[in-house]
Amino acid sequence: MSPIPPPPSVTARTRPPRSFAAFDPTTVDDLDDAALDELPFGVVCLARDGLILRYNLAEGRLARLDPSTVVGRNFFTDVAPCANTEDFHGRFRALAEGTTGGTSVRFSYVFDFRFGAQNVDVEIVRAPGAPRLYLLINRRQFLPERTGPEAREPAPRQSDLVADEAARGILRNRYAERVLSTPVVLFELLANAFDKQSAAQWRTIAHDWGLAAGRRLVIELETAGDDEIPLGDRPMREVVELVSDLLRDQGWGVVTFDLAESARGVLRLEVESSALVARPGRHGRRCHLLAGMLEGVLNHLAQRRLHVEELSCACTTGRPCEMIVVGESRRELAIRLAAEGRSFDDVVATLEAGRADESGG
Amino acid sequence: MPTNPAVDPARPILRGVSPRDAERPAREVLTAVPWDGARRRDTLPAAAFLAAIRG
Repeated sequence: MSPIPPPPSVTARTRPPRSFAAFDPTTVDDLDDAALDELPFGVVCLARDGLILRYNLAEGRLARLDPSTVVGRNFFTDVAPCANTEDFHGRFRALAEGTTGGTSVRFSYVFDFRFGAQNVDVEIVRAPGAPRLYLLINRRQFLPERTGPEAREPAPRQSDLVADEAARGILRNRYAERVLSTPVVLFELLANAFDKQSAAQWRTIAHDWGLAAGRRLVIELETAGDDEIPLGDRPMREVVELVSDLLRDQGWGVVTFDLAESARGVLRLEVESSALVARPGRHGRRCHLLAGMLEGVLNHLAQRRLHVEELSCACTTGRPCEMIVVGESRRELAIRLAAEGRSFDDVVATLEAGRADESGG
Repeated sequence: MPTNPAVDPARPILRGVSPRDAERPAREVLTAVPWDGARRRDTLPAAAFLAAIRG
């Protein structure tokens, strides 16, 4: 039996709005892989011959291909044969060879996939002073698979690119993202390891980890609908359902949003059945990861830096975990009050008193 | 002590908002929150506003 080939090297990946209208395309070559992965639209970096050099997380998610398995392949012949046309490849070549003026070209196109077609806006940008070009791809509309004469050769599936991945211990979800099937106790074990080794850092690290995960969650949420309506333009009720349903379907528990105190500059979140609470324990708060994830989503929606802090956890109260959402200026005080075990009402009153103190003196 | 309290299926996921706000765009609702804790100024009554701009 031939040995199983090693997996290809994995490129780094990453955040959100769905359109690149507000993005300066000339800066794209300056971004590292992590920054590219934070963008909410597809970015593919190609050599002049079409070889894929970089492929960001959003493009992988939307094309349902793992970035680590497309890098090193030819975009036009191996990964997106539907783009191997004069309309697309011809424009690319002209820009790559400098036979057309300017440093970028923008046009609309239809991508064909086996799971459906996509109306996209494409901008091809030539990297200044380097032999590579960037495709910035913004999805405008998701359509059924085209089968008529207008259909072009569809992009391959992940399983077409790399056969028999399951035999190599690779599991994927429906978007071809690699996933891990493991009991949630893994999170508890990690938290326990931190308790032993570096207990003081656990809150900060788990929160930061969650924030990064929350930014990726935004990409999921922004691309969840079949239309092009950005998340923030959807009704509050619908957005809350989308967020809560997504987290529930991923197995994190049920998140509810209480805006009753929003006029005082705070929101209350509750998480029922949190996956991060395995059993009752001496640990005061276990859900910093989830708090960070929710912060990432709320930052995106509110278009400003907010902070989500867990106040009480089901592991000690037996009730749903309770979190508070505050503005950046109240972050430090909220963290301190939460660490003291204060209740939501107490924290809100103290935050307001803090402001009164500032005003008074 | 239970750590997975039963979820009340009748409990709404979104609470503390008027039906009108629930249907407003999420970004509008969340950007209107006085995040730094400053109270929102009361809106001038229309008559006072008109008097103010008319001098």
